[in-house]
Amino acid sequence: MLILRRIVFYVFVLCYIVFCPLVVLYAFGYIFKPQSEDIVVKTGILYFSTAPAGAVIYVNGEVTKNKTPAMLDKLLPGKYAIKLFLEDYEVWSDTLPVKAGEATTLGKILLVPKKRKTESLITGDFRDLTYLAGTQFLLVSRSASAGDYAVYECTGKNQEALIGAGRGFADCGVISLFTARESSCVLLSVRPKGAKKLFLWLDLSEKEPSVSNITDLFPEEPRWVTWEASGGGNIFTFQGNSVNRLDIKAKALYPGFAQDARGVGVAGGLVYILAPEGTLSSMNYEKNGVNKLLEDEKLAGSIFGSSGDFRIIPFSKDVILFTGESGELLANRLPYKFVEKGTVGIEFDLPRERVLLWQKDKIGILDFSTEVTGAVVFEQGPRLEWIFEGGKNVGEAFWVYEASHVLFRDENDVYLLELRQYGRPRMDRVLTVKGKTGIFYSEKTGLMYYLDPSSGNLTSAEIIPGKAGAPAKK
Amino acid sequence: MKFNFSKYGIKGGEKALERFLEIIPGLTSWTVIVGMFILALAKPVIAAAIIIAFLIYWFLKLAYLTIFLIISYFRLSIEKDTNWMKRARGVNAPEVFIKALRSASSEAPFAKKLSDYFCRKRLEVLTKNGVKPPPLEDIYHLVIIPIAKETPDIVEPGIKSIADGTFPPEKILVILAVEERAQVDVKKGAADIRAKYRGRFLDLLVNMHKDGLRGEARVKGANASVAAKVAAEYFKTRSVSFENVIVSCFDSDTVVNPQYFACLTYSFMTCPDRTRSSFQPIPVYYNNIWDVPGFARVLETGSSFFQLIEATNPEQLVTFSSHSMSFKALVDVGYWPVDMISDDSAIFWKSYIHFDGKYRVVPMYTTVSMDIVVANTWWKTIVNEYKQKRRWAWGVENFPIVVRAFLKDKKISLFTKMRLVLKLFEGHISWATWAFLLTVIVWLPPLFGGRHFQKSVLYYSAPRIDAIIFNLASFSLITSIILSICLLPKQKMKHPFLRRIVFAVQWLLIPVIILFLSAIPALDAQTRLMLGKRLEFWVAPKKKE
Repeated sequence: MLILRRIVFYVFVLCYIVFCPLVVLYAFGYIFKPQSEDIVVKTGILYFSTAPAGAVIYVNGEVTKNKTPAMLDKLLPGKYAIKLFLEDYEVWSDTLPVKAGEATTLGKILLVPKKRKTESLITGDFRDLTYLAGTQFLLVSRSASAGDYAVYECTGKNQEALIGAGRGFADCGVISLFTARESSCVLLSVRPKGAKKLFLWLDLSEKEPSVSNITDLFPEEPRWVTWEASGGGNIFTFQGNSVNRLDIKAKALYPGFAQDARGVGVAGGLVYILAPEGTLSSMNYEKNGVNKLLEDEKLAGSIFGSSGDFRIIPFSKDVILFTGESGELLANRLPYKFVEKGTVGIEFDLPRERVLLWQKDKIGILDFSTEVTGAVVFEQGPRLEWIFEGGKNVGEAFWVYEASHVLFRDENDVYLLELRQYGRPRMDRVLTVKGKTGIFYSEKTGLMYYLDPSSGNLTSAEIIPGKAGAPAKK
Repeated sequence: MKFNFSKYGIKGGEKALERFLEIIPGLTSWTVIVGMFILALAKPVIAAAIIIAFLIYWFLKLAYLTIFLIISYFRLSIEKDTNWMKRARGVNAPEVFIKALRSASSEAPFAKKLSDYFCRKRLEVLTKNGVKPPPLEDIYHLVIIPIAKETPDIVEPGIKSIADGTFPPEKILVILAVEERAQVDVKKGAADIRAKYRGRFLDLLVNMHKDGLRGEARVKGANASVAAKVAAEYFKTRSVSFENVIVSCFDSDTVVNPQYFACLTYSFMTCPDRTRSSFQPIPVYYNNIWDVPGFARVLETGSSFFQLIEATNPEQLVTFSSHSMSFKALVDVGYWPVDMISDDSAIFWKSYIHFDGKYRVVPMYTTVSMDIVVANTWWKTIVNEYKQKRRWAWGVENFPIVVRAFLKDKKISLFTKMRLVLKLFEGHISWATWAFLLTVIVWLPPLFGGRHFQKSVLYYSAPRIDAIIFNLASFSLITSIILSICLLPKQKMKHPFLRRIVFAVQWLLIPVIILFLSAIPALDAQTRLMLGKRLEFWVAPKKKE
């Protein structure tokens, strides 16, 4: 037994000595290639994942046994012409680089259907569509009358009248509509026939949204209003140079929260106030715990200039964005000013620390994750890259499929832009929407919502195949 | 070599060395776990490569152990029907017996033929070396059963199994070594057992071990040592040579195989260095196996497997749990350590050092069955299992003492010393760390590797390689499941097939069990030793349905 044990032991030791380095080297991409010059070569990997899955992979014109999601390994460094075939979908193709020891990953390929699936959700000749950013609610309207507004909840497929027929304010004309990111509440500015302007507060998460008339809390016409979803019914209005706090639940007005301000923003239970000289401070809702974030007036002046108001948008724990009246986009990161003018809208990709911004004619990505500071000769600030240029009138833009794509509307046409790590983005036209109306995309359902150009119906179009499918509630 | 096999009674540099060596196992285990954790977060590429190298090592070791588990299992199966008493009688006249074995019927089953072959080979070695075995008639057994809390319902089945064995009980002296601090019903129970079984044995003594004797800790070894000294006087007065006495120190719940003492006698008689040997049976935990939760069943079956594998490696075998040894050796080395919890393994190391490495453990392919620790509730059973495994892992207390002894010893070869220390050290470190590496740390590099790592080939290849290794290792798990079912005692019960299937499925709990009821108790024991804390001897509660 002892001899047997020793023999087996030494055989296993030998196995380990031989196999361990080989397996570890293989894990790093090294393979034995007797016919090549170096005999042992370091290879790379191509990884594909598509929606829907099951596309056949062609490499340099030759079909492989793999279907997506799949990994092609043991590839020598170089460029590979890749084509992905799936029935009923357009062919996806690209030339991809493979580097030694590295993985070229395309984990979020959206195959474009030859015929996109659409579904009519609410019939009616709607004239406009707006959405509550960061929520699943969108509003469609047949006319400017408040009673003609309908609310649609994308995940539950529920529809309600914004203000039911027969209820007060239904005949009022909607002048403006204020929303806040991730909040299901809406502030409506309406005017009843022949009467003074009113301010109405509605919570769309309620089954029949209750309407609160909070006109008394508005001594002046606000230039803009801001609040946060977790703010407990506190909203902040900016009028003239002052900021007021309104407690909706208590129906209380706290005027002069900030007497002299050029900007306001709310996030994480803090109110951010930009002073006329450009200094920035934060405080809680009770104005306690004031924290001076920027005190250097000279620096503040060079960033914010001497005039102009800014909306303050705390993006993450460390990054604060500022959008100016002329469409400036600033941040508390070098070089501070990223867009001089013309920014129409922004969308966030918090996990990847990126901001999608669009102007009338172009779309860009501001990437805060590329920032390099500290022990380097030249510090590197966040990068702004324009991914689409030459547009006519870009309206809305959305991150799609875990921010691997951008869906946007230019005039009446909607496009899907695939953000490629390798080479220029690829763009596909999705469809045409009703003239001068907005669109909405829900990552939860994988559907785009729009008004059909011929009927005006609220319609959905499948963007991520197979993701939608929640049953409609009766 | 004369050596104080204790951490007490040492001074100066030796004390400092002992303390330093106490820190080493715990520090190493923590360094491995924390180091790999930090490495997985800070340098995921290096961590992933190390994990692959470790998994290959783990798989090969698993495969290696599985091979010997299978071999050992078959060896145990072969000897299942062996008439050890007949063999022991045969050893009295080895040449005749060898001839008889040679001329045995060719129609005998293969297992019997193989068993006869092993027996013949053993006798041939004995006769070749000119070693004369002692006559069977001169051999006596001493059985010491330390009792602290155990009542007769726990102790009596073991006594009965000894009395009912094939070896004549009138050649067996049994001592119930009762702690004086034990409850009245425990003491009364011992007295009742004495009254009931005394007539069947050479004698059955009840010895009260006084509490708090100078130099003693509250450990089993102290109680057993006092009982052994009583037995020494007993044999001396009856002019029985210690050379012909085999002592077995059993846990109070130990139920021996009917053939145990016959097999032990045969093993003793055929062992050339019988007075410098211990004899290790295969411990199994079948007394209450169907009355305990599944995790406890799987855990203890794993312990039996470990001992089955160890049985194939007598060169490095260390005594564990209930075992036997030469009484002369025990007396020569000064009995069991009286201040150590791990008396079962400590007595081997004490003897090995005392005899300058000329001491060995002889594996025996017979079983002793014990209870699985159990309590009234599921949670309490987990706690008791945890405490028992921590007590077993406290065997790490041998490490500093053994290393200290080896540094002093000049007669044992450096290679042997290195090999044994390495095995002792590696055994305890792997006990405490492997489960963490296999169940937790292996997943960290892909989860927390960061973008740079995610762009590497390693990010994609490492999980694939890990998965292949885990899949290959599952063959070992399947083997264990099959063998565990084969080993189970045949017992009358409801739905036996279904219960065996459930038992097989329970093996899937192994990743959780090895982490929480094996690795963490071991790490706990090592950490206590590292921090200079003591572990009180904890008497595992036993319960019978």
